[in-house]
Amino acid sequence: MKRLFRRVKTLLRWRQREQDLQDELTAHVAMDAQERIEAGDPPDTARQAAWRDFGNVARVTEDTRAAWGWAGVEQFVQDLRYAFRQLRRSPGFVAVVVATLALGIGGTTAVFSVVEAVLLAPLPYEASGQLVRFYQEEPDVASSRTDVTAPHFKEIRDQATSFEDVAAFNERNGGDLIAHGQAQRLRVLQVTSGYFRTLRSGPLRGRGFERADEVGAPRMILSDALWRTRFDGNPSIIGATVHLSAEPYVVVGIAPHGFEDPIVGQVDAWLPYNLAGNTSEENYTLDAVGRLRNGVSLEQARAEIAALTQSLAEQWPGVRASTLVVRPLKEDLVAPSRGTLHVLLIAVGLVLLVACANVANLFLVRATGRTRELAIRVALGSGGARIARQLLLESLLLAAAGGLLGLALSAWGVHTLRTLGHDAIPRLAEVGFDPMVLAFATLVTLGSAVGVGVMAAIRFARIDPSRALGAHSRSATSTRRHARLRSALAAAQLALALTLLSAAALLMVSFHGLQRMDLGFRIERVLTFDLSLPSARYDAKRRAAFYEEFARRLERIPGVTRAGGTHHLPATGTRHAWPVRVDGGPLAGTVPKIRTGGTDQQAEQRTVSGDFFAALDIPVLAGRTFGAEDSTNAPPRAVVSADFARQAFPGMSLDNVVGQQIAIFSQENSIIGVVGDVALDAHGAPGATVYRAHRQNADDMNANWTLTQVVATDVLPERILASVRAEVAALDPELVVHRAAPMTEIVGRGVSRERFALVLMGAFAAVALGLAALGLYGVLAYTVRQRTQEIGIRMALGATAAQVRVLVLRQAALVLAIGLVVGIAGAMVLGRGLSSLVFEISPSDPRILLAAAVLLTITGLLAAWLPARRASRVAPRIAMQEGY
Amino acid sequence: MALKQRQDRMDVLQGTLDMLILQTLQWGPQHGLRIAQGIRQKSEELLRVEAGSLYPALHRLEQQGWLKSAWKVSEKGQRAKYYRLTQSGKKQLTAEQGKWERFVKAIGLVMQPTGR
Repeated sequence: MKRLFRRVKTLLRWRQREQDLQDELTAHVAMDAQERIEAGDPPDTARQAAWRDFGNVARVTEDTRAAWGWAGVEQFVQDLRYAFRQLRRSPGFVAVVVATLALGIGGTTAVFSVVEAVLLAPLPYEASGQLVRFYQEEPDVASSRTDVTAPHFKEIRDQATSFEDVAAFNERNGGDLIAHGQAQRLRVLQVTSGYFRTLRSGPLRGRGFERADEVGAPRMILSDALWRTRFDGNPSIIGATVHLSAEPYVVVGIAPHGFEDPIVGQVDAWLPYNLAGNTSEENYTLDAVGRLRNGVSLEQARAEIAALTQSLAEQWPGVRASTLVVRPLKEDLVAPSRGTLHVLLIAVGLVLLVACANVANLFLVRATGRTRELAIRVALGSGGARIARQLLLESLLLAAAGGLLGLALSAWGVHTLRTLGHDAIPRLAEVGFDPMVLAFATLVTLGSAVGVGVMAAIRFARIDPSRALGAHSRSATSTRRHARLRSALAAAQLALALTLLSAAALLMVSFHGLQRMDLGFRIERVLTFDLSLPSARYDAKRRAAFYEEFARRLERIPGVTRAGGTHHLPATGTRHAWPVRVDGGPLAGTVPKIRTGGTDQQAEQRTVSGDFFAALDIPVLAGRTFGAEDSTNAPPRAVVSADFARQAFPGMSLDNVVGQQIAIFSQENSIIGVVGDVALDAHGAPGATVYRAHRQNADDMNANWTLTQVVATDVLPERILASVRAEVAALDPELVVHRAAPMTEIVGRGVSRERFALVLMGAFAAVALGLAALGLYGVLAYTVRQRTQEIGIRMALGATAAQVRVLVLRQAALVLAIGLVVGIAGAMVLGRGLSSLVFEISPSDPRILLAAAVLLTITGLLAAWLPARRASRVAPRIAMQEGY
Repeated sequence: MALKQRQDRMDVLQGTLDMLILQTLQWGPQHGLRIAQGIRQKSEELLRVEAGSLYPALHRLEQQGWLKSAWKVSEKGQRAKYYRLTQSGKKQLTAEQGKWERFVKAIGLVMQPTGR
């Protein structure tokens, strides 16, 4: 630092120094001449002799100037050239080192670019820091957090002044767009008028929705992508009428290119949401976002919302989730992924450490092989610092190559991560290379260079030429110290590998548990797909009849056993949690809290058709399920899950629950049966559910339910898909089979974050294990080669092959033991970070640690076996030959 | 050895010259001409230090922080640039001496190989 400062100062005073130098050299000649004159020479001769003695002034000036600081640059270039030459001589070493570092740097960069895009980068909206999301919750019960009801949102929109604009939206049943004689299923979002203004994404063409659109004639805004692909980018579409599921809409605008909804993601079309039409204060169905006014802080907005909450609570004393909550939108979106991504970043960082330790070891061995060369350089005047610099330069060159290759690798890695994680992590589409990622990669590369080279540099900066060159003898103590350092590096690698292994094992066991978990319904050999009926051609009566008829027709397809439908599949999260009033039993006349999905909410509502329960093997525990007698004209009937029955009718037997009355939004239903519970999500959260027959509720709340069909088969579900499509086409050629997928895949999506973490952790652990095994092998192989003479002597003195093997294996065991102890400690620490990802197993479960330790030990012993065997085959005569 | 011969020789000269300069300045501040003369006389005229080696060396040593320079008036009334040994320069001299002794020993070992 000090030297750098001095060098800069030198550069600044360059001119002055130039003059100074001239003066100095002139003074030299003048004094020399003066002395010659005093010695008796005539002045002319004296001056000439002085100049001649001095030599070429220009040359001296130039050489001296070089000493001012450019010498360093020159030396550096020299060292660089030397480093290149050294590395070119050992292509095998270079290949191994570069590949190892590329693996570490590339992996780390790839994971970091995901972390950066998902957690660090702002949302892709103007001034996105001002965006917030609204929730409702029960006072002081954060776990009861739920979406917002229309009346509450209306209050925010009309009363709150902290916000520039607010918007509410929810995803509507998709619609079918028929164009060019082909049906396309659109993803449709219903939004209030402030939607595009709140997100500051004014439609590119046309206009956004106005307040009047919420209740006026049907309007639509198209996505840029849809406009380009289906309407050929023709601007005259604005003002034209487009039919969605046979219903007409006038297109008023086209959204900006690339615009996506922050919560729902990619949307094809937006429709106005009729806020005034939804008056239920217990129907938590709206996603609500807002933009803080300029200069208004989150705290100020929270204070205002808290005040608003007070008045709302007085207005609707019965509302359970009466507290409004404001959260920063970005935080809300990415918080669930943060733990996963941080753990993965740490894990890949550990892989990088293993890679660096591995390469550092190779580097040490290589430097040791060059002891004589380095010693001669020192003897010839290279300072220790220069030797250290030389070694660091070599490691820097290697790391730079590794970094470049790593960048290429990480481009591939990012692609893989995006494919792997698209269901698991939000915002993955935004992942890419940007200056931040490049800066990170550079930093990691530099860090690796130092990490790899520093130990060799420190060791060999203090090299003692007289000792190193003295005959052939390697100094015993320094050799031992080197061996200890290399063993420590190998142990560190094993420890890191064990940490990753146990993390991967933990995730694997947990994931296995998730997959084996009984969700309460059949998952194998069930085909699911959506079928929606356009309201224009199918009124409620026709819809009711169609779905029942359709189920019966499906059951006639060979290979199909049972078929039915539901508006929301089990184990795919909450949807339509509605208040249910109980009209019998101990809680008669109340709307009891129903604990579902781990929180106090309301019972899940499901509308089902056909043989839904039989198709999913949901057992009937009491009474019966829906049949032909539950027709449109019959009084409304409901089937409830056992969990609901127990909570709504505490103390009553299931048989007695049959026949009880419940009211759903003032619709009286009599319970005709109790069925087994199904999980609310793929993690097995219990869900209390009320089922109603679709044909009795085909126009319930003016909704046109899109029913997801569930088809149980005794063949592979994919095999009957063609027959299903044919059947649909035979019934109505304009209907489309959407989102066909086996139930296994549907449930798998619910655990995609766990799978994402597992796959990555598994890959990291495998790489780390492989590198650590290589590292251990390298250290032992090197030791064996170094001790060949000693081993030869031992064998000549009668040591058996087995005894020699034990000699090598003992060293391996020591390294392994240290690695195991440190690794288990590391595993416990990392395991704690995994607790949000593991399911029904303790992160410090001893069985997991034991399994990982056993795997590591086996791998370690395998890696040790080869060098041990080689040692036991040393021929004493050869070993003791001179020069070995 | 992959080093070029010419550079090797320069290294030897450089390394040694630095040490010689430091050694000479041990007795007090001196200007360039006097340093060159000092080395020549001390070595009984065996070593000649060219200005072309001396000044780069002086400036480099100053750059390293081992010397400090200042303009002064010489005993004969001429302005000259005087160099003096700094604290770290003294330390460096000690190190160089040790290094030199080991070097001589190393060369000796190489030149008189132990009979094997």
